[in-house]
Amino acid sequence: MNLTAPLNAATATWRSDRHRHGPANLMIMATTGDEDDARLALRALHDPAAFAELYRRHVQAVHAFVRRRTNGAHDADDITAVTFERALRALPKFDTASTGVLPWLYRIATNEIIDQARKRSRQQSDRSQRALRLLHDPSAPDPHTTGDPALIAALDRLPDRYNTVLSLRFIAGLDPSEVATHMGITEGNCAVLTHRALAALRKQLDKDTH
Amino acid sequence: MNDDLEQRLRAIGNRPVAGLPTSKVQAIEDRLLGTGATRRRPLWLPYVAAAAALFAGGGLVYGMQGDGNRDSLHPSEQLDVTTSESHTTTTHGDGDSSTTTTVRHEEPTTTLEGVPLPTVPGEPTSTEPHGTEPTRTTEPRTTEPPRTTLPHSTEPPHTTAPHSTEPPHTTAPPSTEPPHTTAPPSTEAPSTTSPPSSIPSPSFTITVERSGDKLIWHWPQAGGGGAHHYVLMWVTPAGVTDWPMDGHQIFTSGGLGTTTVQETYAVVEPRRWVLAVVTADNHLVAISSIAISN
Repeated sequence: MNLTAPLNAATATWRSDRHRHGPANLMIMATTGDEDDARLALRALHDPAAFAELYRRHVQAVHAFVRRRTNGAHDADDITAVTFERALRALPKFDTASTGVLPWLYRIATNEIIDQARKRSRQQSDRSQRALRLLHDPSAPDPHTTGDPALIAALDRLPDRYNTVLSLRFIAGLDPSEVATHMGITEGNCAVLTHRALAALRKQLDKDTH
Repeated sequence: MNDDLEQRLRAIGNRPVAGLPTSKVQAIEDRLLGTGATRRRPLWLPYVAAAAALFAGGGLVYGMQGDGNRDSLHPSEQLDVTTSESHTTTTHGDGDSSTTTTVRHEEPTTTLEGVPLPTVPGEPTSTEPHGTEPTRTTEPRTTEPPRTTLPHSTEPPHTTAPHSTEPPHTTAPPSTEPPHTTAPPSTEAPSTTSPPSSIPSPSFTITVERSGDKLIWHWPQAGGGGAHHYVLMWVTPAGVTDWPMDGHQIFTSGGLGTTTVQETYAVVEPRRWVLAVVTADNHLVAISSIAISN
């Protein structure tokens, strides 16, 4: 594909955002652990090649997360693509000093997964949902082969915040501090939210079983 | 209490999954960078240009109808305005059906007879950056028209006019230089809404349909004329106005074998699409009619 024109156009636009991320941010970045990613994220504001590098660096991790989280059944490729599209648009707002790029991408992917799940649930009738639930046998999950579809289905039906905290904390494997940062809450609140989310998940599983 | 659930969730996170194939990685990257540029394109620009053209056209008409209270170069009592009309019929093919739209162009002609008019040849005003550019021979109204005969001087502006920001002539100061009383009538063609000659007319049909959050396009296979590959792009209601349409292209095929493509477009909104058949060195061979998606 001929990318010359889009790249040039994007460059022209991204330059306008450069002034908001000046040398001060670079100095902050130098003290953080994820320096390479952060520098790339800053450079990506005016250099599409830098974003392409970020994409290539993280696309497999994001895709794997999406496949696991969605049980590989629905549009993992598309969700991965949309995740990076959203990241590209949100790049000027991304705070490189406070968090790493990959957790940020996981958060975007989680939001997209939730959106997709919501759309699917709207499209499917209650009857078909019940039929789908019957296909999943929650009494005999085999996470290594099937990805625990009952658990995924129950997760999809949780409120967004519960869904997000469990996805980021346990499926993406983020630290509590990273989850808290991305959800805009304290670590203490994150622990409470996680506890409540697990309780809600158990309740949802029980409800699905009976 | 919830350890078992945590275990199950972590097991999902540790489950081995197949990686994204290299071809998919590349396809997403292509789409990603193309989309990023596309969405940043200022979609309001054509509307601003249209408004500016309207303003300029209105100002021009107003300026031509001088009432003596202003420093107009054209006294109103000596205006003889005649209006001619032409009709252009445009046929838009769309799928199996076709609709015919008749566009009426009103082309009033303003004639000033025997009036010695002061002009300002060779003296561009500060608000007329293109007024005396000698190299713009392909742009009909970049040079100041002769004052004795002004065909199309009150022509309504069209939205794609490149000189839409040209201000009206009402603010030009009176000149003491000799008037142009023998200036020949202009032979310049009126500006129209038709695309430049390098853009071929639509010669085939492309269809687009929505399936969930995806759009799926279909088109007939092309061949001959040096055709090498397809370029799918979104367009404004004006269609393909120039080439290449930077930032509009969302898909480029690897050859001519592809006759369908699908992309995720979760946002449901009307969009116009045109498929271009191009040569290996990116020259237009043919374009499709406009297909509209929802």
